[in-house]
Amino acid sequence: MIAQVLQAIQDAFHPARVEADLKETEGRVYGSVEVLGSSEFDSLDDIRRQRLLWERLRAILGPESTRVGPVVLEPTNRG
Amino acid sequence: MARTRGAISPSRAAIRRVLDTFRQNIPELVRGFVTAADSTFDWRLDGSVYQYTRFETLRSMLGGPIVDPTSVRPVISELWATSSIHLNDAREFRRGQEVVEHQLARLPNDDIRRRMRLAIKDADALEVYCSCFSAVDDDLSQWRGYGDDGAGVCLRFDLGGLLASVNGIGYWVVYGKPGNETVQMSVADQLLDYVHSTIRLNLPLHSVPGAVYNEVRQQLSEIWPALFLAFKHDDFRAENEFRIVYSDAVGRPIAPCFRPDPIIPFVKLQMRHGARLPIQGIRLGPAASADANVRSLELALARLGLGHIRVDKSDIPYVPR
Repeated sequence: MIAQVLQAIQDAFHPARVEADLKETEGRVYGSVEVLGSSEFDSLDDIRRQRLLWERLRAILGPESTRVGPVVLEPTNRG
Repeated sequence: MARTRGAISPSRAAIRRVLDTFRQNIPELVRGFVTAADSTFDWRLDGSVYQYTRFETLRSMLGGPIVDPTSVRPVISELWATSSIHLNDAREFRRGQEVVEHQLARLPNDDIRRRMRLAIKDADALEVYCSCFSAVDDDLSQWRGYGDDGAGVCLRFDLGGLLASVNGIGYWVVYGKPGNETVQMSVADQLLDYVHSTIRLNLPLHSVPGAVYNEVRQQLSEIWPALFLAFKHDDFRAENEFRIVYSDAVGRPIAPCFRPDPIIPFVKLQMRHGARLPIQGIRLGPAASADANVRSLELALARLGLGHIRVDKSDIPYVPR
C-alpha cells in the first residue's frame, strides 16, 4: 500500500521529488513524506493538502483509503 | 488543557505530529467510514448548501443597519460560527460524546484506551465553533427554526468554494438515536479503532514515558469535540445538515468575539487570501418575499458590487402568526 500512497502524493502535488519515511504495519500505512518542488503543495495550507491527498487516495484505494495514515506531509505550515 | 510549549522529547513530538495530522483528516475519515456503513449516504462536496438566518445578519454582512454603498464595504469575506454550546439542539455535543463513549468499550483495555476515555472527560465544547448549513432549499421548518419565522433570508453557498477556502473543516452530519444508531455506532467504532491504532503504532516500543501519554490525552481532549459534532440526534435528520467546524485544533488560530443574547462566543472565519464568501444567491423568507424587497435588495447588491448574487422569493405561502 506504500506504493499507492506515494502514487497518490504524486497525483496530488506533482512534486519534483519526495523523501518518504513510511511504514506498513498491521495493514496500515503511516509515517511522513517530505514533498519537494511542488507549486501545488506550496500554495495550500495543511488542511487542504491533506484533503487533496485523500481525494487521490480515495481514487486509487477506494474504501481501503481509511487504512492509510495519518501521513504527515512536510514541510507543514503549523507552528 | 494548554499545549506544552518548548522542548519536548522526540517520542512526544512524534505523537503530537501524528495527531496534528489526524485532526486535519477528520472530515475525510468520517466520510470514508460513513460511506462504508451506509452506501446510500450522499456525501457530496459540490453543489449548493443553504444557511437560514435573520435579515439582520445579512445587513451586517452588507455593512450594518444602514447600508451606504458610498461609505461601507461589505464584509462578505467572513463566515460566522457560533460556540457549539449555544446550538439549538440541547444534546448536540452530548449525542456524539455518548456514541464515542459507548464504542470505546470495544477497544482493548489498555493505557491508550484509558487516556482516550480521560480525554473525553476533559473535552469542552465552549471553544468549538459551528456554522450550520442545510442541503434543503426553501424549507418551511428551516424558515421557522432559523429564518426568523419566515422573515429572514436563506443564503445559498457554493459548497466547493466554501471548502476550498474557509478556515475550518467541513462535514455532513451523521444522524442516529437509540434504536436507530447502526451507522453512528459503526462510524464511531471505526474512528476509535483508527485513533487507537494510530497512537499504538506511533508509541515507543518499550517503556512509554508518562509525558507521552499526557500528550495523547491533551491532544485528544482538543480533537474529540470536533468529532462529537459529526453526530446528531435523529430527530434533526430532515435538516440534512452540513457543518463547518472550527477550533484551534482544526484551523488557523483566531480570537473569539461575543454577541448579545445575553453573551454568545462566536468566531469570524476568514476565507483564504481574503476571498469573498462563495454566496451564489439570497432567498427572502416567506414573510419578507414582497417584490419591493426583492428589487430593493437587488439594487443594494448591485450598488455594493455584488450584482452577481441572485435574489429570489420564497415559494412557500406561509404567514407567520
